[in-house]
Amino acid sequence: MTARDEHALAVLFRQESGRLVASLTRFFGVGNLHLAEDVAQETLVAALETWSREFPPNPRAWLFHVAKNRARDVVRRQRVRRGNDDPVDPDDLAADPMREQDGDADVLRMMFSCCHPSLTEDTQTALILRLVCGFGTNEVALAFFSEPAAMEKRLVRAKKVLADEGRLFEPTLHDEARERAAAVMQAVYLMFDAGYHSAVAAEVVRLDVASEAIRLALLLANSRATTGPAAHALAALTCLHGARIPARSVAAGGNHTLVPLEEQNRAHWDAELMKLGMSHLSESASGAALTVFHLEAGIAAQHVVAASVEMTHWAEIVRLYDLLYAKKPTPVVALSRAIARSRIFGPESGLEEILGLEGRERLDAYPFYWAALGDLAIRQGKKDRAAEWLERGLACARTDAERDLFLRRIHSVAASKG
Amino acid sequence: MAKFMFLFRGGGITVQPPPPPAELGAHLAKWTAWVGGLVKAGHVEVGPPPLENGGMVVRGTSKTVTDGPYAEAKDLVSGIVVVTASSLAEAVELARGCPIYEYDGSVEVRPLREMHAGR
Repeated sequence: MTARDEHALAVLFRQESGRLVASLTRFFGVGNLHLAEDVAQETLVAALETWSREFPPNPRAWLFHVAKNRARDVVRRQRVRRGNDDPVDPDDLAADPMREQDGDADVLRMMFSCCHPSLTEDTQTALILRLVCGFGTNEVALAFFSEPAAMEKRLVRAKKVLADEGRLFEPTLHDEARERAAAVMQAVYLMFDAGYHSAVAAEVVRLDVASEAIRLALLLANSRATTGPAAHALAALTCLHGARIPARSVAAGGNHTLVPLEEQNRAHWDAELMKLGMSHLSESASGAALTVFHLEAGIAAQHVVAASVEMTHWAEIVRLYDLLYAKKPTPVVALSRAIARSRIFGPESGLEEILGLEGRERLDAYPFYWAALGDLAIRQGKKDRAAEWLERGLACARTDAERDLFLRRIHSVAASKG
Repeated sequence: MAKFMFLFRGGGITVQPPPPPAELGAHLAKWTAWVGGLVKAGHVEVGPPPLENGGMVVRGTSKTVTDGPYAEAKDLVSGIVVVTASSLAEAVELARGCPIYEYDGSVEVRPLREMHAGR
């Protein structure tokens, strides 16, 4: 028995819970989702009981075996209780058995089922976190900064939508699946976004949410039913952004503080994820499709291959932002493009462009808008102006990490004024 | 050296509703660390395997048989282990390291009587 890290086991339990729920749901039928969740939970409790003394060589196989036996017992008990007219006939179940090697396919079915068109994008993502990634209701609430009770209500309603559907969604059904696949990818994208931006998810779950999104994006890219240029681009995007996470936030005195791109220690970027991301990026170019994911992955790739901010290929990044803005004309994209342009044309023109952005007022509550203005003013040497803008950013910062970023900036501007 | 039985009651195994997966996993890590430490220091005797859920209770002169569970979750025996320690005080000290208290569990430390063959 080796000592095992608490976080590693927490992640293992979460992930295996998702796999068990998916496989058990297929076994019991989606109408018995609660039963699948109960049996998965009991299986993990059985593991807690047994593994402290003897850790199994193959934890996943152990869990699967125990869950399968318990599922059979449940059916047998139900059958005895109700007589032989039970709607769940064990003979039928034998034709559609729980097989460990079907785990990934079951997870895909569950992901597709969670993205039911009558649910909002956020709810789809929340449901995936709950059912596919094994997050507890409180953790899902933390991932969206919402109240646990409200989240519980939302999840219960969403599960009912799934159960009413009567069956799990088959990702191999062609036409319908193509449409649904877009929603599934969007849900994974939103999940990654929530995990990547500290303002969306609480610090305790943030990195786990991001790494789950990477895991699911890779699953979509590597599964026959879902692979394709868009899935590869999504995988590339999550890996290439994910690679920068270790340098992007550093622990300082019990707090996490955000480190802007130009101050990040590039040696701390995750080389494995970079490699994986680049390989998916090249696979994503196998067709004519150019999705938002392709463009965002392309931008992320330019950053990770650059040796420094100065040596970054800003012209290419601006070109990609132009294409992205055509597909996704949001003020945030326009802001990012203006920042990239300022690296070529200087802070003066950057400021001019940002202050002239269409829909600029919608950025008023966005702290990184003020951060961008402040940085450009610093580059111009206009410290009073910079301080004023950074104060505005501080006022609308949403987390301690963001507040810390602004405080450090304001402090360094004040110090340099002497 | 004397032998002691640790009777675990309640804890993460019996708590309702069960904690979410990540919490159970993190809790398990504490158990493996605690049990691992006891094993490494040579305190753990080979005992019975872990208990299954449920079972039956036979009670009274009429030998009535009833289904488990038998008690409130926090009183339910959730595990057994036999340890060796130099004294009751040391055994209690070992039991204090158990993570079961995180979920309102308890450890009953009972000295085992030494039996001498032939007497």
